[in-house]
Amino acid sequence: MKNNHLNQEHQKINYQIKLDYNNVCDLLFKKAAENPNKKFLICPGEKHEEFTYSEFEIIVSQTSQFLIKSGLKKNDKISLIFHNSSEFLILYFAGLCCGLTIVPINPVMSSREIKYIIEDSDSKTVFYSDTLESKISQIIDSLSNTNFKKTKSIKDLISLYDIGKKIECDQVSLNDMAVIIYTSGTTGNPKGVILSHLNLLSDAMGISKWFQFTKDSRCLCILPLFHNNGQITTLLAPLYAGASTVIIKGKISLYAFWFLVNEYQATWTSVMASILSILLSLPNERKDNSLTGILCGGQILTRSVQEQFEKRFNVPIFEGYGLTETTSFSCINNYPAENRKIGSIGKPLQINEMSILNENGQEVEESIEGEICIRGYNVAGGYLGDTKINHAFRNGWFHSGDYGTKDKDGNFYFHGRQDSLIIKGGENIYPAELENVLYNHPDVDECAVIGIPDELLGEDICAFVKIKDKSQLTKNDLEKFCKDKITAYKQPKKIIVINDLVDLNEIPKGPTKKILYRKLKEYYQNSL
Amino acid sequence: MVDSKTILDTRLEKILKEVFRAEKIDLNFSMDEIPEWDSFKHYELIIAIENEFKIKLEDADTIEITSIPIIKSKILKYLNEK
Repeated sequence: MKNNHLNQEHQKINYQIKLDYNNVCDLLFKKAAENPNKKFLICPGEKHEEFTYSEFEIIVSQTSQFLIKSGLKKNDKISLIFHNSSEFLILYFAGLCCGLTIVPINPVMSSREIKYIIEDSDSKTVFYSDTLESKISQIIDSLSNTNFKKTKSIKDLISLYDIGKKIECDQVSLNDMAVIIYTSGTTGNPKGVILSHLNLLSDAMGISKWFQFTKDSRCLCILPLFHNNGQITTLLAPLYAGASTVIIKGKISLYAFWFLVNEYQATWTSVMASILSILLSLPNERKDNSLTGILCGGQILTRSVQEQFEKRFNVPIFEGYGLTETTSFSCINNYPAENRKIGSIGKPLQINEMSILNENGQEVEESIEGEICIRGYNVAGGYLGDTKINHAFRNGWFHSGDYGTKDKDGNFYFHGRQDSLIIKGGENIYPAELENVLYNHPDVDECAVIGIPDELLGEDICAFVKIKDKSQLTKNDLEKFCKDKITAYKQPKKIIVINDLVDLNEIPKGPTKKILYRKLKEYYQNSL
Repeated sequence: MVDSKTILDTRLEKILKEVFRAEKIDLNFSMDEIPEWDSFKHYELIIAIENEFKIKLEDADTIEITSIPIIKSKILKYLNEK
């Protein structure tokens, strides 16, 4: 394809790559035409479902027609609030087929957070799982311009309409907005990353080719589909090769992980490092001979966990690196396994370029630390709305805010983040998200939230809170106060009331009164 | 006289409260309605059920457990097989 699809400087690279598809649905339909009877999706669980490529194409086409008959038009946005399920997948592809933009929302978010995303994205319709009724009912009345559709099964939705079997998706172009994925924002509200069909297709192709996926590959998807990793690595990348995917709800996948791999003969999966630690802590042993490798990203993988895991389960782990802004992975350790550089996050995928830049935007020498920057086909056009946060996309690069180095062979190494972002089990959480909640309590004088080391999750959350004089507020009161106001995984593991400390009187701040998160971290590590 | 269904409910409720550290649990809830029910808790829950009812759940059953009513039906299935 020609570079004229790349309308942003930070998407341009010095060579062209060839994509064989015009949009995500074109990919699905062409694969269905090539292999109609091949298994595409398996959704194990209470309601076990399986779809061949042909069966999936038909139900996606029917659902697309339902969406159009419901009054939705090209470029409208729809929010999907589901755990991993066939309903999510069908609505996802059906929406993309008719040029809608999909806004996947994490179902464990609080009602307040879900409402924010629906409003910020201007979603016309919200499809949600019937099991989330009690949560969604709390916001329906306050969003009178949004249409809410409780969804138990897709067949119930489409049975209301007399619709044909096939839809054309030729009106959807590579540059059309495909999905908006919300990620943690520095100000406390999540920010929407806009990803086009080009972004999704190119990153899927990059991963598929890196691991040499074939029609016989089978990915086990245990990461959530409302995040980019699950969507790209274990859904669209195997689709790009005409392969198959086993989709399972993440919450139920770990106990049965090795059973699922064996039962469905999975060849690949993608995980967070915390999942590897959990699997190591369980007594369950590997039973299959099918698993070729595990892709791991989203948080730091320690050498000890990698070595123990590979020794016990005899399967190679490929560490990679990427962000929502780069659709999914930008670089992955070399394949096959004997070519890996252990401890590295690998080399750039074919579809993007990476560089280590200094504060002046100049490339630094080998082994000198700088900011990891990326440009290419998979780099997002920008964030929704706010021009300030779009500053990360500048001078022809996406500036990740992560720091690292590159060696003489072109392998990249991740060192850490410049800002105060907390990465808990692969979930990004900015301190302001919890701080904003705590500041809503009338007895809180000041507060600051930091990441603290956690063996399993990489990091967990600790809130330092200064209580107003004469207040009787306790840690337990604050825990209860936060409970319904913010998602469970963003709740603090520890709340430290500064008034109870003898060697810390207030939150450490710089001359401009900016909170010194690094000092607070040092205090935690040295004194608590 | 207390029937066996009530006894099962009571024992299960006790486990659920302990695992999810909750003061109250609605026995009709699905996992989506209990924010604390994540993959770690799912594992803890299975172990607690197996210990309390002296049963061993098959792997295939553990991926079907997505609500408290399903847990009850699984426990009953295993207890009846004993």
